[in-house]
Amino acid sequence: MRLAAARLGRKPVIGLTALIDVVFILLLFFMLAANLQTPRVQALQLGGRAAQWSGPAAAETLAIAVPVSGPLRIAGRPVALTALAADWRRRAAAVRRVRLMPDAGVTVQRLLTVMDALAAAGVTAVGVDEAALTATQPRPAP
Amino acid sequence: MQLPRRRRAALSDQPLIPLINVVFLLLIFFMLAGNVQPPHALAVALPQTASGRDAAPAGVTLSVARGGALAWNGEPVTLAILRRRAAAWRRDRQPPPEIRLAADRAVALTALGPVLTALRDAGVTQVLWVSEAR
Repeated sequence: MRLAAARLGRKPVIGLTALIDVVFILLLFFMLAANLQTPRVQALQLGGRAAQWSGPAAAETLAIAVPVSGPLRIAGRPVALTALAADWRRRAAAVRRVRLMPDAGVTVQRLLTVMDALAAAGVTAVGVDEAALTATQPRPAP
Repeated sequence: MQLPRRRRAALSDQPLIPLINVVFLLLIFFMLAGNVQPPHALAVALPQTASGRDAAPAGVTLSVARGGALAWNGEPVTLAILRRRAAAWRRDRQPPPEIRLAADRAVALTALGPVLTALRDAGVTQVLWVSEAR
């Protein structure tokens, strides 16, 4: 284009500098506006109330109570988040899934921290009991 | 005498061309790799996790702000509208879409109860919690 224009002895209509300007502006726009971080997700199955549990099959499901802070309670026994992997390894033969029963006042961050620990322990199927979600009064700690 | 001067003028842009190539490549990279749409309509401080799989946005993203405000793919909705839309899946006999729950980290689960119950009543068996890397 430029060579042809030069050969014809007249200046090109659009200079290369203008093109570079536009491309630079586009580059700056996309660099500033684009969000490179892909969101990460953790799956949680929705069950019903304890009586009509529709999540993972009941026989192979381990209920874990999630207090607002401190260790989890598995079958009445406190299990620290760090000890979850060892505890799960002992149960993994009999239990395939986990049903979380969060206390009232448990936040999303706490739930996901617990799910994090479960994922690190190798638990893949995690459900939540909705009866615990609709409770309005904080249950007394046993 | 005239010909060399012309050639010099024609070649004056030559050193710029590698630069333009690189800038074009960067431009194409950012256009393809980044997503420009705002991630959340509401001010949501996502919970932080160490695990989880990366997944590009798909299906329906429900944002829940700290105060309990809901957004459906960035559009502010009420719980009643959410229930109506969820009921439409069942009415139209179509499987519910993938639900992503982008809830603020400080929201109590009891506050999410009505949302989760509405989803389950519409046949949703699993939600994906959106989090950010710690």
